[in-house]
Amino acid sequence: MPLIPQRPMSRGAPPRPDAAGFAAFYEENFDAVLGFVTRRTTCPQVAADLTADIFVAALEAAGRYDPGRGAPAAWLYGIARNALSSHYRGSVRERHAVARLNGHRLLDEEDIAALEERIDAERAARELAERHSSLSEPLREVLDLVAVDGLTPREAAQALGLNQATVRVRLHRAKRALRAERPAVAERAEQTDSTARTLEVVS
Amino acid sequence: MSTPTGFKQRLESELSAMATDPAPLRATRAPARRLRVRFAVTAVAAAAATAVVVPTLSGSGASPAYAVTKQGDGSLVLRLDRAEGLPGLQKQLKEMGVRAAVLEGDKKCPTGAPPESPWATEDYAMTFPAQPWKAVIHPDMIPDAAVLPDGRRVGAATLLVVAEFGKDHSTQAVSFRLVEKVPTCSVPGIGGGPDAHM
Repeated sequence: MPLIPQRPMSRGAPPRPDAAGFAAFYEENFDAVLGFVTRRTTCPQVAADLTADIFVAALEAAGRYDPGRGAPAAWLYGIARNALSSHYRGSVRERHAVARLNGHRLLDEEDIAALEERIDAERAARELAERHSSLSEPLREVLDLVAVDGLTPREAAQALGLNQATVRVRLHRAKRALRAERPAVAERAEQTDSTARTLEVVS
Repeated sequence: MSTPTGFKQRLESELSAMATDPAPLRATRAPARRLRVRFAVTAVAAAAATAVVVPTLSGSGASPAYAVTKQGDGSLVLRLDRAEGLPGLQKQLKEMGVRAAVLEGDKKCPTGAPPESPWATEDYAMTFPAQPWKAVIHPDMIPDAAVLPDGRRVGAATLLVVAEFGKDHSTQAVSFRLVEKVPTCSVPGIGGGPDAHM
């Protein structure tokens, strides 16, 4: 399975806070958001909760989206990362603070089966992310966004609030650290980085 | 790849309802924070209602190491060029009543990156215009303490800004996150909004 999605998230349609505008943004990005969460959890209910959290947060922030500050893809990934980190920091209080909609309550049996299939299909990506666990957080978050989620370095920089030079330096350091541990993994990370650069050039 | 179509449709309906009637969202968001700005330079404030610029000079005296400019909408434009401007920037933000802390990133910080405030997904308290080394703080996006609908209390957030400097003390990168408790140190690169360019 390719670890780099063909196109991580929307680059075209900006988020809009009105119902029709956000519906179009939702339709365009639902699959990518679902991919983001199923690359990080093996639980269908958690995947549903995270998906709902991400889109609710995006809806709330849509009115303030400024295309001059970054592509919709990076904007949405920034929101997705925040929703994910809030969820996995783990306290009940925090989950209450960020959750406006319980996504798992919207699931039926067929949805759960479809999510389980999806989670199975993303196993390789999760395994890749697990191999990054030995890295420090700054290196891991950059490498995950580029190698696991398929963002370009520029998009990863926008999502993380870093400049592109910093992202490239961290990618280099991450690959070097992985190479020291597992040469094969580092080689794959290098391949995905090359792909990402190609995507960035042709976009 | 398989799609949970029922979930997708139901979530879309919920979001559509929220977009049509945003009141429930507002009810659960952090209450809008009144900007508590005390103008340290009252003479300048009186002369220019929309901007307060507070520079500090570098050792060479050639240009300010930092500057804070208040805009008409209440946001604050920050400029941090060199490390020596950091203490002054911190002091100025405090005097302006902005709940923000500015630290120099420390790769050896034993506690790493501080935990994010539970309000982290509410909004971006700091954004970055295209100009290099400039950032905009949105004080109204730094949530106050709040009581959740279930009675739990969430502490007020503080905007933690972590700067990285080069060997020549020039600013290399700035990252940020909302925290409940300001740490004594932090590793650099703690993240930020999706639109950051610094």
